[in-house]
Amino acid sequence: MRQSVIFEILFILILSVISAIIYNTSSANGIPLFYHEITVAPDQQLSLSQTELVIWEKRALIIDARAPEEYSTGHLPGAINVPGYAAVDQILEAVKTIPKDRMIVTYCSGVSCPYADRLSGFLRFQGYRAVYVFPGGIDAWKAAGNQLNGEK
Amino acid sequence: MKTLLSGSGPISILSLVFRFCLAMVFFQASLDKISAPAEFAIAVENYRLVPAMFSNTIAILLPWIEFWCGIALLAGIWQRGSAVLLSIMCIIFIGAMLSVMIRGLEIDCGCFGAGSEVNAYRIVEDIVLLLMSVYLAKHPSDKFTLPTLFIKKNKKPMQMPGA
Repeated sequence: MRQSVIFEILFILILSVISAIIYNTSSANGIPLFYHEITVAPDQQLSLSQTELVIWEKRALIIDARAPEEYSTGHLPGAINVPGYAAVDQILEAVKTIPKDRMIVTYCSGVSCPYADRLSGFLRFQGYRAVYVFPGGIDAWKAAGNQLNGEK
Repeated sequence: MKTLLSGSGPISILSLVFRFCLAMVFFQASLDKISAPAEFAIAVENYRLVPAMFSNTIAILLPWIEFWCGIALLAGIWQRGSAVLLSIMCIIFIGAMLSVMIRGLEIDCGCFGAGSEVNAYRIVEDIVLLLMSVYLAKHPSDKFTLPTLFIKKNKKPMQMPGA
């Protein structure tokens, strides 16, 4: 009986894989099988010192791409919170008042967090012309001994 | 009590009810996800439990496993296999949602399309589905299944020619 259960499971899995591939390939809503991380060009990345300067001179709108509860525990000075994983319409609503030529810097918790890259890619796609990423994010900021706003 | 657990006799209706409940829940859940794979991929990635690279793969494949399990249970075929698969998935879902709650993330659970946030209610819901799946894996329902209906329909008394 155990063998028949294993066969049933295998059969359902094989059927699922075949249906998924056929549907995903033929459907208009299909997505790539593997998600490719958005790569940010080196000239669109800011180092820690560049980010510090930009914040000091208040030249850019700083966007924290982390979750609201992470943002509330401390964020870069002057940063607003737009979670990088939010739905498209929520992101559009959050940035609708920002002029397209405004300098924007996105950041996340650190290099392993994908939301700053994703948000910057999305904003560029929406026509924002000066979008940069601070890849080091909160980790690099704190490691340099800088203070966070709203830190608890 | 014995009949309730053995799944035979009049109380075997429990297996039937569980089978149809699970079939409807997972069939419905799969349709929402199949129709919007990009949204579901974001929901998967928000859990931050698998490498982002595989969020699309999971979003493409998982709803179809739910779909075929739902269809199989509805038809009353491969019940044990479907129930075991659904039990494994429920355990994974419960673990994932618990980890989200422990980490304090407020994200969409991706359970039934958009707009269903991870919370204790969702975990309880999945525990109930898990218990139903485990019960069904142990006691498959033999009523209103495609094979039994088909066999009964074709089970006419044989008539000898010229009788």
